[in-house]
Amino acid sequence: METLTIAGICLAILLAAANLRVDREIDRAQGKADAATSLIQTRTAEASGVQRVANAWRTASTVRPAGVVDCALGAVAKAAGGPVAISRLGYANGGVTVRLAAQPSDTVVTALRAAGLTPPPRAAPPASDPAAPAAPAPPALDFQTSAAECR
Amino acid sequence: MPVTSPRRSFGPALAVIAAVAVVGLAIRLGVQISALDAARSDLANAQQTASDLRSATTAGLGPALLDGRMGKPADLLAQDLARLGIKPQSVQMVGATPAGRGLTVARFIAEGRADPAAVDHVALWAKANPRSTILEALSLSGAGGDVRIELDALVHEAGPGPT
Repeated sequence: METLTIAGICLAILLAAANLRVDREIDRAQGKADAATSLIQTRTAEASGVQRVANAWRTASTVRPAGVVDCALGAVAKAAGGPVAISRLGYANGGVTVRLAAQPSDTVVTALRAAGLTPPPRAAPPASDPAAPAAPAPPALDFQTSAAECR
Repeated sequence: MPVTSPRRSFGPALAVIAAVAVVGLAIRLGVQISALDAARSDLANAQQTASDLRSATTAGLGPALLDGRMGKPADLLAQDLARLGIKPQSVQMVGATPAGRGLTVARFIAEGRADPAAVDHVALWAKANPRSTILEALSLSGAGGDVRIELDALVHEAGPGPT
């Protein structure tokens, strides 16, 4: 009986020590988990910001493909059969407008249209004076295209 | 009258106390081990989530077009444009948006002179770096080839980056 009692006391001491040890392990693990949770919160905010900017970037990149400038310039050169003088070139919102320096021939205009470059739509005459004679059409120097149209 | 030894009278009580203590501590240890397993599982999940978030952040944007540690971004862009045949007269950074990982999306406006070939080079350069730059707007006009370029570019910030 005495031996069993002493053995029980010793076992209790060992179990108490194990309890303390496991307590410390739990505290350590929870400390690491808290740090990881804090890191997750920081990274979630960062990832959210990056994702927002990345989405905006991808959208802008799709809407404004720079290759359309090269396509338009190449189409003009091909249509004219070589270098051609340009008095103005504009690129905005994914579209390109080109103003030729001289009136192109019908052949060139046809080739430009085939390449996807078309004259911009003319403004409608003012509605206040529908009986006014139509103004003479200006020479078709301007052509426009977009990534979807340029071939 | 018989005399009872104190040792004999405390023996059973001590044995009971020891047995209760052993049982109680064993139960508590079992509960603790269960809690420790749960805490370790939570920690592993949290570390995995943090790792996934880091991967998601890293895969966001980039690489940077301009390295702010190598000089002023506007000056670096002017050098790039000069290499492409533009004669830049002014390059200004007009806006910036933090993009994480030490990167910034910066809006630049460059003005100078160029011919259509140089403008074509700029467009092809932007097309070749779609993850680093976006050509927002461009205009070329006048007899001297006045050019105005508006573009967004990813810039590595000048400060120390994230570890």
